[in-house]
Amino acid sequence: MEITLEGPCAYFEKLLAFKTMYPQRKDLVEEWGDKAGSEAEYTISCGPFKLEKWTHKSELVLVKNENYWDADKVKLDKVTYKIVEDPNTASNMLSNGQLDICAVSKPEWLEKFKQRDDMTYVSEFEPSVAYQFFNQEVELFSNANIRKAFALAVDKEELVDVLYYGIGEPAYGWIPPVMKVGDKTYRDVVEEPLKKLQEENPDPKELLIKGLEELGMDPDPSKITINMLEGGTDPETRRFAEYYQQAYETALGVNIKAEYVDWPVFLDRVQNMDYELAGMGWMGDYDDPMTFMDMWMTGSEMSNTGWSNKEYDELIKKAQESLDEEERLECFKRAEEILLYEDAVIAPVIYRKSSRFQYNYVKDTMKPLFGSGIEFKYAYTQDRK
Amino acid sequence: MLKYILKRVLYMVLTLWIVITITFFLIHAIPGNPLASLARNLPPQVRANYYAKYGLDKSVPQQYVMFLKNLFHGDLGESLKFPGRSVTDIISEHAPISARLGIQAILIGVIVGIVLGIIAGFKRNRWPDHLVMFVAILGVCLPSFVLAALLQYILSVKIELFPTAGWGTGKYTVLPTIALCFGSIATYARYMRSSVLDVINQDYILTAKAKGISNFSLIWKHVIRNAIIPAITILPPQIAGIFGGSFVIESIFAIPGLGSNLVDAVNNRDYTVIMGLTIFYCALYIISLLVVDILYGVVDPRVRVSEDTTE
Amino acid sequence: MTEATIDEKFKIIGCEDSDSEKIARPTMTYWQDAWRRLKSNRAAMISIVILAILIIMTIIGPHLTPYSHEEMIAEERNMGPSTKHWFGTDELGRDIFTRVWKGGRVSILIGVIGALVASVVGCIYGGIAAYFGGIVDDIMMRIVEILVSIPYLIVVILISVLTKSKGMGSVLLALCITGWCGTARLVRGQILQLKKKEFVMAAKALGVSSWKIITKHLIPNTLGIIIVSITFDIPGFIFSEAFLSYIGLGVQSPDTSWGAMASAAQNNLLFYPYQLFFPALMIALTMLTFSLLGDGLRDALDPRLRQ
Repeated sequence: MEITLEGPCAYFEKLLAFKTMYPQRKDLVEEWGDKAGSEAEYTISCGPFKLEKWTHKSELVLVKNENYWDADKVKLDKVTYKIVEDPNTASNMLSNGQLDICAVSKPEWLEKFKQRDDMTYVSEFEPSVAYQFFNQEVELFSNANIRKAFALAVDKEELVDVLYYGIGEPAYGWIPPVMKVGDKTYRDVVEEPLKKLQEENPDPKELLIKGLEELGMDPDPSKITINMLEGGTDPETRRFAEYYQQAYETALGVNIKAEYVDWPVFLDRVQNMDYELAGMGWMGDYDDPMTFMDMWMTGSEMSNTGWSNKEYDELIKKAQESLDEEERLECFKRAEEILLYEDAVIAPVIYRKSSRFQYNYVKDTMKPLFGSGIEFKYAYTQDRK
Repeated sequence: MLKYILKRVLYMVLTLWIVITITFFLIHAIPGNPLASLARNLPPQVRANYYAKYGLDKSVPQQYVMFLKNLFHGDLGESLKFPGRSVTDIISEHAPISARLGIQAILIGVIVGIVLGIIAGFKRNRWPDHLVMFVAILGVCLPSFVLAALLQYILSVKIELFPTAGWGTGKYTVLPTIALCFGSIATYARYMRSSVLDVINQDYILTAKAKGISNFSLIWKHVIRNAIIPAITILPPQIAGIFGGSFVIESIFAIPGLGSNLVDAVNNRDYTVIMGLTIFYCALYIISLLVVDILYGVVDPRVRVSEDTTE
Repeated sequence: MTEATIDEKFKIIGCEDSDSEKIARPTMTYWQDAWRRLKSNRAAMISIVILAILIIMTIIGPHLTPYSHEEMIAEERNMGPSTKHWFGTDELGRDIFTRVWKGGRVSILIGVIGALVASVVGCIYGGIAAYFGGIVDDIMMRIVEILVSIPYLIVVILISVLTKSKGMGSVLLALCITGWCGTARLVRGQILQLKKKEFVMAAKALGVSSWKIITKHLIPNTLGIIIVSITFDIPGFIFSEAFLSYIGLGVQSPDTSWGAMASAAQNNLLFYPYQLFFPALMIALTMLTFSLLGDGLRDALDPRLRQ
């Protein structure tokens, strides 16, 4: 097979591992049409396992794929995924051995499981950042100083502790620590821009008042009410929103009203610029900062902040076309500075981490950064009771 | 009787049609659309094609006519959120699970509740009454999610009697059934007690007692038959409710039932699934109403269904 | 002989005509009698006292602590009950004592108003449907079926969109729209049974108006069932609100309710049971007292149990 590119692309090989590039069986996809991938009998696999049974909303059963090119190395005969929505239930199931591996994020459970010597804790960085963003078509957020004030208002260390139970790292930059430019880890060489901003502006409230004055508005923050849009209506979203609400109100003296809407409505409204302040997460698709940076270019469908910056666009364009990793790194560095330090378009909050427990008898599982979930190709169990 | 049932069936079709119509326009009136998250990253032209494929580019009345046409041919359409899965498949895969749990819970709830209610009614203001009422109130006091979490912890995590969650053999149904039936036990016990108290003060009971009828046949022939009517009235909403309202139980015990499907569909604005489930619930509900109305006539000779038609 | 003995043994002491009309006990209206009987029911009286305390606490409770119900103290998260925080704090470091009473306002109001609306509407609706029967009954019952069949979640979401809020008012409205249907069916069932009774026929024969028959004869005779159903409806509404909170459609923060608190604390059941205990206790107390009061009222109001 041969692929011809329209132009140079330094990160093409990394792009190939993204799931949109996975191979498909043309004849079967055409035969099945929309049914492809909807039931176990409408899936095929070229991986180490194949989907044998899929009980929707209950479980997926994977069995070893004898046709896999490296089938000799695959040790497990069967992998069962249980679909459990309630995290407490899942933890209970792990605790009495009905599950072997389970994601755990609640601190009390973490503590409980950490005391057990038959389990191992695994926590790794994910290529993912949670962030708050502002609608610049709203008069208040058209001012960079006000956005900066909001970006600095939240105590990220405390937030990671309270909201994420310490799973994750406070984010002062937009590119998470695991991303690489070529072979170089980006965060190792580039300072986080928000750290500089914070040092220069110890009191975000001053920034806010300065911004208000620049806009010719009443400089009294207590007269401002901001509507914060939340993409979910469950207690967890509520917990997050209530924290942000309180944090902004304490640090800036403004009033925050949280509005909870379902996820589809949230996306709709963000897309139509019908919001003031909102929060989301972004997960990288492939191992290059581009997956985080091109979304903020003018005309991108992914960013809906009303922000547009010529220098930024040019920098990203240059990084897209250049094959020189040093040059690309410089481009990203400057672009991130514009995005966070100069214009405060968004306010990154946390670099997210995964967090799971597995029994010690489970061996050799892997968690690829840009794969989907845990890789069981080499996994096996030993001395299981 | 046959004429009555025929008439009722006609009414049922009419009711169903009105419900379909109202629900259809309601769900299109709430903001948010089902393809928003799937079509988010697509280029505008592809997105437009995508919407056109599901007829979402047409006006709501046009979509309504299309929906009715398909429905007439027995086609409920395909899920918008999970392309390739037909709504009929979703219902036929998940409904039996909800049905099994629901039937188990209702049966236990009704039987235990009625027996407890009768005991309490007859031993009024003595300890069996207080005990039964205490248990009954306790069963209603605890929100189902608390009860479910407690049951799960005690019977599965502490003493590993039953599986914590999931779906499979009969033992998987034990905990959710218990969690579900507590509410019905309490409801039926209280209603039965109240009805029994109403009935035992009636003259015909005194007469029967005076005639020296045995306690058992007094309860069986006179008290239960008369006291059960209010209890039957609350059965249809329970039947429909157990399918729709067990979302909490389904989510705590990880059961692939219909309740969580409906909540997910509403959250995702999955129009076709919402419509399909609405039709299913509605049909279930009105059929159980019909059955109950016929039962009325059986248990209470004073209310003969045929009389309603002649009046 | 016989006459003589009677004369010897008994003496006529006289009988005044007015005495025969005299009533030994003081006259009492129906409601006076009901109140008298209710007072002698100890469980019901204790319930009234507890309910009164609960209601008073929801009014003054939030002011008894130095904390506000939305204030988060980061370093005092998940603290057990102590002298500083009487009921402990939740996972965001908010004082549970303050929140329980603040949330109680919302819960009790939703429960009581909801149940009252449901009963009044349900009684009238069910009464009319059953009394008139025939086509009126058919149409009215079909309307109930339609209302109950429309997915409840859609109605709730739509109302919160229309009223542009998720405050107590819109939650209450959403709960009331279909909340009365159960009562209506129940009352209808009862009245279908009653209207065949002799006293209703007698009233009809005497030319009493339909309205009067419904309100004076039929409804008082269904009061027992209605009161039991109210005592179920109050926690029923409180629970419905809790369910809505569980899926995020209940009252919106910074407001809270017992249901919202309980569903949030459910995840912490194993680790901080007190977070669940207090809101659950309040729900349970409300439920218990309303039930006992309902039972007491039922006995007191039932004309057949009058002595």
